Amino acid sequence: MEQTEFRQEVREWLEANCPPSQRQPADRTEQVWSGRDLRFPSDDARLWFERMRDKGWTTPEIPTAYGGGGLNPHEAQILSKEMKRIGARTPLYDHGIWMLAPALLEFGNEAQRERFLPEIVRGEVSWCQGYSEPGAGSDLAGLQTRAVRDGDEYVVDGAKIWTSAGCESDWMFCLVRTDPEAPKREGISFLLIDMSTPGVSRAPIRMISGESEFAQITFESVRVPVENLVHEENRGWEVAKGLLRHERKFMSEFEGGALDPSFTLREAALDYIGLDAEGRLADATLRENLVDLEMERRAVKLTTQRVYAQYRGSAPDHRLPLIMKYVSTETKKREDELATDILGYRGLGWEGDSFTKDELNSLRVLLFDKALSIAGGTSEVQLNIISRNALQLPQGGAR
Amino acid sequence: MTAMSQLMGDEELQLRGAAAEMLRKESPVSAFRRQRDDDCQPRYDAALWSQFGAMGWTGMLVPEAHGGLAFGHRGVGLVCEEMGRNLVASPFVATAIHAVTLLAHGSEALQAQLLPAIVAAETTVAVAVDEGRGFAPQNTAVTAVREGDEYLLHGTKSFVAGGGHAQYLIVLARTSGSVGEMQGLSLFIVPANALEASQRETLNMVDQLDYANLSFEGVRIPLSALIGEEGGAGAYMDELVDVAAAHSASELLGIVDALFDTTVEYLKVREQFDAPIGSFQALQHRAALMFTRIELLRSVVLDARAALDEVREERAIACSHARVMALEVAQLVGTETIQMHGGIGVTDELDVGLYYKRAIALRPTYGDRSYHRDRYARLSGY
Ligand SMILES: Cc1cc2nc3c(=O)[nH]c(=O)nc-3n(C[C@H](O)[C@H](O)[C@H](O)COP(=O)(O)OP(=O)(O)OC[C@H]3O[C@@H](n4cnc5c(N)ncnc54)[C@H](O)[C@@H]3O)c2cc1C
Repeated sequence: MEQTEFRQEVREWLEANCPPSQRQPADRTEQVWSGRDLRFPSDDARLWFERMRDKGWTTPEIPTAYGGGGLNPHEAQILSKEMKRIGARTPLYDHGIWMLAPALLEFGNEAQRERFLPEIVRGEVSWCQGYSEPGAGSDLAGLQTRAVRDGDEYVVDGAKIWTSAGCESDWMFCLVRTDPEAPKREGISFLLIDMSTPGVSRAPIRMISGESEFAQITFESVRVPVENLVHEENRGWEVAKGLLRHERKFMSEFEGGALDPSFTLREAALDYIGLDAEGRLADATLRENLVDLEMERRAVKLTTQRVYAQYRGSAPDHRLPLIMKYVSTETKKREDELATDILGYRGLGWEGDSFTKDELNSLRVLLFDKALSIAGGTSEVQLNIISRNALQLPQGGAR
Repeated sequence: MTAMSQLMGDEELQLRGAAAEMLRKESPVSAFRRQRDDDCQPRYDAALWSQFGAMGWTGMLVPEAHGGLAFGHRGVGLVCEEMGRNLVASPFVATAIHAVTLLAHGSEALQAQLLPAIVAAETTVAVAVDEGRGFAPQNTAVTAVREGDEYLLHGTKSFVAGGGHAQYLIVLARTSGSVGEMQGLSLFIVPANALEASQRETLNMVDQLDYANLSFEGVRIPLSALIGEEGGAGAYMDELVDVAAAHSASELLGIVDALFDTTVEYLKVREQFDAPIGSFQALQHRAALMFTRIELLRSVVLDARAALDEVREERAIACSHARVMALEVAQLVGTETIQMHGGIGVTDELDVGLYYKRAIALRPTYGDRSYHRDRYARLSGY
């Protein structure tokens, strides 16, 4: 279909189907998360979700055979832009949507796709990602959780940590060691584990922002049927790598979370600091910092556009996307710090009616966003990747 | 901001290829080094200037009616990038970019007289604006006083790029108002031979290009020498600031690309502690950081050129942004390149020093970093 025609159709459909109440930013309590106990904060949220689900647009790029939208990446981008244009909420949140589903399409067998993808599209199960372990973070391939084959089952023992939504999720896609003798990366497999299996226990971990975003999970003799192995045994690293690409792409497109204040920094500066007699922001140093930050954001935004434009062009520069996770997350952290400077005392309220919602959120975001440059590969690891893959610098020196 | 501004079309890719090839062949850094060592005058290669004309580059901003190509700022910017990459010495920027931008406000007769000659690379023009330590047009003290059917000029312009050899000068002078105001400024075209030899003091500056202090004391010019409205130059200068900012950023981007390539190459070949120094993580991370800065800069520069061509509302923001970021990145990459080369980095033998000097020479022209950061803030309403 012609792009402009598709855009028009999407625009009209959204106009007709997205309830007005679903066109405002959603805070945590207003988001719809997948799960066996799928719950809706309001009738409108349910209606919006059901309409999008029936179009397959909860997962735009999953083929229609599995209930998805069957859109190509370009059409999916049009849909996303049109949703943004009217402020339409994401109808459904789940780690399975943006990480596991693409991996199953690439590496899963037909039975696995038929079993898991339709559930993901319909939001009937929630997924979490079990990669990191207490002893394996940046050096992920050092992971120790063991899976030993016993007849038609694997028996899993070990621990995962920093698992986002680990306490709430129905299923986990995870990396386990199936061959302890092989070189690090060649003894790892990709396994799907039902979290209600006996032997799985979970404990929430509290973050500096006050939330319990993630959890520690322990496995004690957890029995997992072999049909839950994705790709071949000991070839899980390939799946993991493919999936990480989606994760980083997602994180570099991350334009702020549900808690982000509704004001821009410029608005906040004008509001909280104000202009002097000459029409300049009354705090000269903050003015300088604001210029720098706005320029940085603008540069990142233009570069994101350049990456997209290149995808569509004939000769994309494959080095360019490698910088995006680093620059977007580091810029976001700087923005949060500046917001806190601008708000002064008013940006330090932890909770209570003495502060506006935006003021409280600003502080929580400052604290939460410190994780952006840690999760999904730390900033230092990103710089390693740039120097190795973009600049092709020699490896193996002092580090 | 449109996505298309971030991609080059076939025409642009062709132009870039042609410019890269021509300049690498006809004007490599070694040519500039020779010119510097022999102290050649003029401080550019006249034959190369003719070639700029033959390639059509001199006419990129000139309307077709005056023999130009009207290729636009995307094209000019590409040429500037390649000039930066090869450290080309040329009257191109002053003549075919800055002067042409201002001449667009001149009378039909003036345009018909000068533009075709510029397109043919048969003449050169320098723009004389600055009088003090930096760019501050509101502080213009040079005056033009109307006497009968002439203007009488008083005062001195300093650090005029191309001012030593240009055949024409465009002069910013005060026709009314007082120092400190943007109102009351006017632009005039003055044939360089209206100045006595003693009124041109050529300067030796860090980049070894052509600069001069010019005294206009007692120079008389006809009324027809006025460009545009009397007292209306403030608006023309604002436009020139955008154009100059975008293209100095383009030139700096070319310089930065050349320096960074040199650095990455050196990190791969230089060995210490029995390993290539590029295998040390302390250097890897600094190189990777430079790469992120350079790629962000590239996006911003491409956008600034497109904003000029599309006459976007946002163009002043886009151009000031490009200039600030180009200066920041050039400073980073310039100093890091020297540092990562160790002792050889501070020798004249290496081209790195020549690039660094050209880059710092571009700092004050048409607004330094403070000027453009401040402009960005004002344009943004704070
Ligand atoms: C909010 C949040 C959510 C997360 N969600 C999940 C999830 O759902 N599932 C999951 O599996 N994991 C998750 N993680 C874990 C995340 O992937 C790890 O925290 C991350 O990979 C870093 O590992 P680590 O915490 O062990 O730090 P370490 O690897 O111990 O790093 C400590 C420091 O050393 C630096 N460092 C390490 N190696 C190098 C090197 N080679 N060169 C230079 N510096 C180095 C790091 O950059 C860092 O600064 C989450 C993390 C956060 C913060």
